[in-house]
Amino acid sequence: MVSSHGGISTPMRIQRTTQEDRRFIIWSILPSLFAVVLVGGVPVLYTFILSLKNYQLIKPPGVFIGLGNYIDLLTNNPRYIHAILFTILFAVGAVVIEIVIGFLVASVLADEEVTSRYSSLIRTLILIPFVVAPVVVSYTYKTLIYDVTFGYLNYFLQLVHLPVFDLSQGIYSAPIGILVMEVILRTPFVTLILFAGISSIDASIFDAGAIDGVSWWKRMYLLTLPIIKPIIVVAFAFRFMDALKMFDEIYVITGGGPGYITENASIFAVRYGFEYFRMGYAAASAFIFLIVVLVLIMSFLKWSKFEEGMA
Amino acid sequence: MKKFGGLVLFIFGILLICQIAAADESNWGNIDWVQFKGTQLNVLATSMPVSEVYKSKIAEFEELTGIKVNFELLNDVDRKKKQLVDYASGMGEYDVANVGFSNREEFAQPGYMESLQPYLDNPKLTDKDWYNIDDYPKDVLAGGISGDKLVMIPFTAEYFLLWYRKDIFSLLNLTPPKTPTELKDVAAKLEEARKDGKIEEFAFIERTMSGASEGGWNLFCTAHRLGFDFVDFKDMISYTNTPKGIEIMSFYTDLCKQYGPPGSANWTWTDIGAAAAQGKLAMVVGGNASYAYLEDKNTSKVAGKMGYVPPPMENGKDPLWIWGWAINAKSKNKEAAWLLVQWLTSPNLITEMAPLYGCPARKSVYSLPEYIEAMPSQEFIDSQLWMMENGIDPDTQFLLTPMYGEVADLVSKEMNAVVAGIKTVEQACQDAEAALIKIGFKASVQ
Repeated sequence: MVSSHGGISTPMRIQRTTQEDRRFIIWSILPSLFAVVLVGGVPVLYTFILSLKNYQLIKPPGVFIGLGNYIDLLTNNPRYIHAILFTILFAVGAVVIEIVIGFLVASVLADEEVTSRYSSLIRTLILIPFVVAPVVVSYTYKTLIYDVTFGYLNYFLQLVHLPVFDLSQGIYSAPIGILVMEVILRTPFVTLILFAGISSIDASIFDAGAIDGVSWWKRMYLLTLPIIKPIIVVAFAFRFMDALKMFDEIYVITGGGPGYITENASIFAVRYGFEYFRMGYAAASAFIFLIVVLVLIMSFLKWSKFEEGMA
Repeated sequence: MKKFGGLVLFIFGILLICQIAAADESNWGNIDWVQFKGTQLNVLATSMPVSEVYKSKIAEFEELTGIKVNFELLNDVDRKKKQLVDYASGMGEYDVANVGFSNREEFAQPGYMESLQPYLDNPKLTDKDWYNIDDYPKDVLAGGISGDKLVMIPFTAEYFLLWYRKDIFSLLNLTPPKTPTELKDVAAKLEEARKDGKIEEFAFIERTMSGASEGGWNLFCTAHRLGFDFVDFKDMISYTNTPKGIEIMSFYTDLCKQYGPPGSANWTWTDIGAAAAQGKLAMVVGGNASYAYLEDKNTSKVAGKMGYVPPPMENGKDPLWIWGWAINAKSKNKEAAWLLVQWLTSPNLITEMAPLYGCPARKSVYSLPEYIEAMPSQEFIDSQLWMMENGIDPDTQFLLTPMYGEVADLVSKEMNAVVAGIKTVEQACQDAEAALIKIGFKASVQ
């Protein structure tokens, strides 16, 4: 082994240094590890224990029922299956749209001509929805934009004699309305990450492409995308996890309705836990969802060959 | 010396008389209000007009007792969740909290609410003559009793009224409906007038957004006024998918779909109140306590134009709703908490506050000149008194069970799906019943 000083160290010295390093590493990470276990591990463990009980807040204490809640959720509760499917489909749809739009906007922002003139202004503008609390944005969309009686969207639609957009009617309006809001609200985050990635590409690569006469589309497809693929994967993974646990927007805009149409896994868990008081059942639903999320994220990272890309 | 002694006695006598007069003027009963001086109490309350008034008065309690009060306001959904977590965890963070009628059994049955009778009977803590609990109508006080325990002291008595626009009814020569049939007829005439351009307002609205405390509450109450309950909680029987259940569901959803503003299926109670105050609605079945939103001349376009009558009924009555103050069974300051509950529900404070929120639980207040003066109309007061004496059912079964929240949520989701055009009434009733059977109900055999 080569020491940090570049010379060959004696075996004794290597061993002593390693032990010190190990001790230092252990003591350094111990507080963080303790915090992670306390705020992450303990709640997960508690949720799992709770999920094995028929525990109702209004009828304590809980009774141990093993995997009863899990079996009921997966075999006897189509509402839960719907919530899981809706959550995943919505998250995939929203994040794909955000990545596509975010990439295009980031590419424009990274263009030297735009950067030199308007980039700071555009970056400031796109950050506006990003810095406002999701609850505020959701309530604004519900009342001031989408509402048929008070909303601007329908005011303008009626002005040009188009049919109104009513969130509360049919099975498509509410998901579309929430999706549009989510894309507008979250795309800036993706844009910023991708902008940082594109900006970090060595300009000489594009210059070489330009000398070879590569078109804009080919430059994007053959140069930019492969180079920033790891960054896209990170952006997708972050946003996907975030979209899977979405709560505020749906809770404010539709409350999960009409009927059960926009009820996702988070709304389902909160409703069962705090409105039906079935904490054990809600905990089991959250735990299944946690496993689903882990499997999806791990599959995605494997599929995208993330680690190879990073290497 | 004798003269000096006489002077001292004279001054002492004057001071004593002044003290007695002052005590009489403040009139807070014959107990030691400062016995828990230095204690700190945490209070959790739903954000609503009456709570805002309470919050503005808390400094007076702190001055009277030397007790420090942290008065926290949250929207009703969050208030209930936070309260439930505090109760279930046994932390006793909140000493006192308001409790809605439909939450009473949810909190009382697990033993989360302290029994208040011992505090009421303790002369060290309560001057019963001054407090005068008999001032509460029997049915209203019964709203605070779980089993045989008084677990909360009511401070409001609420029920639905039909709000209607007097100017529009006068223009179209209509009279407020008293029965469901009349309601449909009047709504149809209003809608016809809107289509003819005579009026701009939509005819009628009730809440249709899903949720036990949104559309579920209105749906169940409307059914009860028509002599029907979707479920029998005692015997765990569902009547949802019966001909009567389908008829009631049709009545409710047809009215809202045909005569409500487009998009209103997603409206919360606040949205409906705002729409009414902005002059978008001709008739609303709404709570009596909400008159304040409508009659606020600074924010409402319909102040002075609204009429208030009992809601249409047939073979049934309206469920009573009360808000009450309760003490957390795990509170570490229960006696000080009782002083606060007693003060919050005292004849003095209720009398002082009633003109500001309109629906006090103490009956003596309704005849006070300052209360009458503050209300929008004599029709409003008469309607409230009529409801208290004839229109409410204090034993409404569906409100007195912890399962109400889940049941009403399930049924209201199906009702909402009908209004959204996703399901037929028959399909919705069938699905609602299937969901109820899954949680332990039996289908009725008819």
